Amino acid sequence: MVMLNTKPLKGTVQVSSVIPAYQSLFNGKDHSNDPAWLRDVRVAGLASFANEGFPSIRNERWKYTNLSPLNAGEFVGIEPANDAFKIGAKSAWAQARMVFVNGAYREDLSDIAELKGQVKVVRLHHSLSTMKDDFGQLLDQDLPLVGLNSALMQDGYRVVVADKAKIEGVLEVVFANSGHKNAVFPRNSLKLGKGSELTLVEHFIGQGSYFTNSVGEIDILEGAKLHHYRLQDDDISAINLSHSFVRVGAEALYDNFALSTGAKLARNEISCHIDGEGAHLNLLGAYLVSDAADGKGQTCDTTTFIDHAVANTTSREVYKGVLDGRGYGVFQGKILVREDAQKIEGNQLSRALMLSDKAEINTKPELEIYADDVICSHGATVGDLDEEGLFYLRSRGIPKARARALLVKSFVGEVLDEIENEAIREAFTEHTANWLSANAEG
Amino acid sequence: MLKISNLHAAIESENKPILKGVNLEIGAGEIHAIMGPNGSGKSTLSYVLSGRDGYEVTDGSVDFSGEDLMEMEPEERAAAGLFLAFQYPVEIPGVQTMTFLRTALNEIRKARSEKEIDAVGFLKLVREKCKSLNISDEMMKRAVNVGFSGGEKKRNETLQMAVLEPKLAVLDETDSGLDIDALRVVADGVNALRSPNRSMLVITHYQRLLDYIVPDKVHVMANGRIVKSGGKELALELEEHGYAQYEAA
Repeated sequence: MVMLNTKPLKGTVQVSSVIPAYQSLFNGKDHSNDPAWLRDVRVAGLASFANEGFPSIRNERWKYTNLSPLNAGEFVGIEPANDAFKIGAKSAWAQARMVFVNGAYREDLSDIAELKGQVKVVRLHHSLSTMKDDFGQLLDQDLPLVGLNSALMQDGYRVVVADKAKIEGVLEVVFANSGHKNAVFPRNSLKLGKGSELTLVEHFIGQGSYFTNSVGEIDILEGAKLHHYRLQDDDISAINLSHSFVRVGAEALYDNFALSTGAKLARNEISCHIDGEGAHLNLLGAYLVSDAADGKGQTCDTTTFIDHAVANTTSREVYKGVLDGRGYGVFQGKILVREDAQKIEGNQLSRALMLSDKAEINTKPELEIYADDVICSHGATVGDLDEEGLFYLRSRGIPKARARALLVKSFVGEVLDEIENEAIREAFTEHTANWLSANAEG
Repeated sequence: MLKISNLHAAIESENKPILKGVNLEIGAGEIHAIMGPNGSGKSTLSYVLSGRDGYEVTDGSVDFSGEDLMEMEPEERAAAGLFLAFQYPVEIPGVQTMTFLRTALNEIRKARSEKEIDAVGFLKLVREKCKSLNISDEMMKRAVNVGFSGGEKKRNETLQMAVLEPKLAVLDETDSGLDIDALRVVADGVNALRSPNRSMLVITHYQRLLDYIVPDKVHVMANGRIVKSGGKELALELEEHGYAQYEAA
């Protein structure tokens, strides 16, 4: 099934050393244990990447985010999991966790006993031989980054929740990376059976200048609910390009919150196909960016695509950005309402708070509507801190730095407050507060 | 307590002089009222005293209990005991009134090297103050001034004053936007805060407010200066004859 309507542009092929670099990385790997169908998928994926390389800014979908730092082909390192980078204890809000270090599963750091029973939590690597009909069904292999991931992916999580199983507790999946010019290609697969429920947190951390190219497929069957949270706290020198493909069935809920503070170059792309009546989608998030390690600004790109393919479905998007220093934000949100998909409600809001004259944001909302009984809205605001509010707080004795932090916190707090899971809401709020005291105060 | 001498101030961006030599002295525990027509400089005086950006002091001085007020940041003025009750209190979405006020009180205490108050102690303090002012403490749970009625906003200002216990409170057009019942509640609150150690400067266009908050002295401001001073009876005279004679002068 192809669910994206955007194909790579023709005529934008770049001559660069990056394509041969990844081709030789592919050739250097032993694929003899892969089933035949998977080898075909890998070869097709590599071909799709080789067709375009990393998308250039001439590609409409990548107009605002420049991937040229990848074009030198330096990010080809494959470093083994090592102990140089310490992984702390399981987060307080998590009942179970899987840990991948430099792409490799670390059983010694993982603890999934608590969630066993009605849910299968395994390494994707161990499931591949049985996944022929489930693998790559929700995504668009023609996208070069997806193709690259298919060609080089090794492991990730594979979670299957049984019908009607309501999983209590939170599953945390940690992607920890370290090293110099390392490249990792996590591939994740999540399937929620009918009427089931799961809360999952993807947590990116690391140390060094590594490149993560992550792809996930999420299938939420009829009446199921997924609370999918994401904390991208990568090293300030890292690159993280992630793309989740989500299918939402009838009466199902996909509830997503992404908090991003890390990486020098990050894109979190979510493509959602709503194909059952009564389904609802929440795409929420906050990103906080400032100067990167190299003195340039961090780039944080949030790109969403919502395909209301059937009637009586609703979606809501709220993203808040805080941009300090030379921070650079991108929000691209496309909502497609297909013909005959009546009684749709789709609301989208992007708000950015600029704390510095050097910060920059590009916002591109896009509504494409072919049905007539539809309520869709989009709003985008970009503003500075409210001077009146700042003076009001200071006139009550609150010093300037603290007053600024309070106002910024309240700006982000509005969307953080929408996180349903209380422990995660508190953890994300604290993470935000820590970022603010390290970056935006003073 | 407060001594304003020959104060000149201008709007920075327009280089437009607004205050043109204000002289005013307020003793401890005294209540002074400044009345005047629109555009006379009343509100500018309150902004200059509280340290709002955008105004430039071009001459003169303000002595506040022996300190040079004009050299201080707004938060330092608050810590020194100055409080401005805003004509239009600012809405701050996402910040709970309780958090805001406790932060303010503790920052002031910190600046004075006093012990900070914990959440439980603060809650008790706020409840007491609300009770003595006859204000519901329900608004403490809401975001600062968000969705408050005009009366609620002014009551919130009064409550903040009660909690922060300033030495000098400047009330900028506190009566604007209030009906007579709300005005009475706010005025009762202000009167409850009168003390021998607390001075007040009440800025108002109308005499009405001064029926409830009775001043010791009344000053008429026109064209950036105080042009006449007198007792509380001066307010009644202004009510009857208007400001025209002063504006011409």
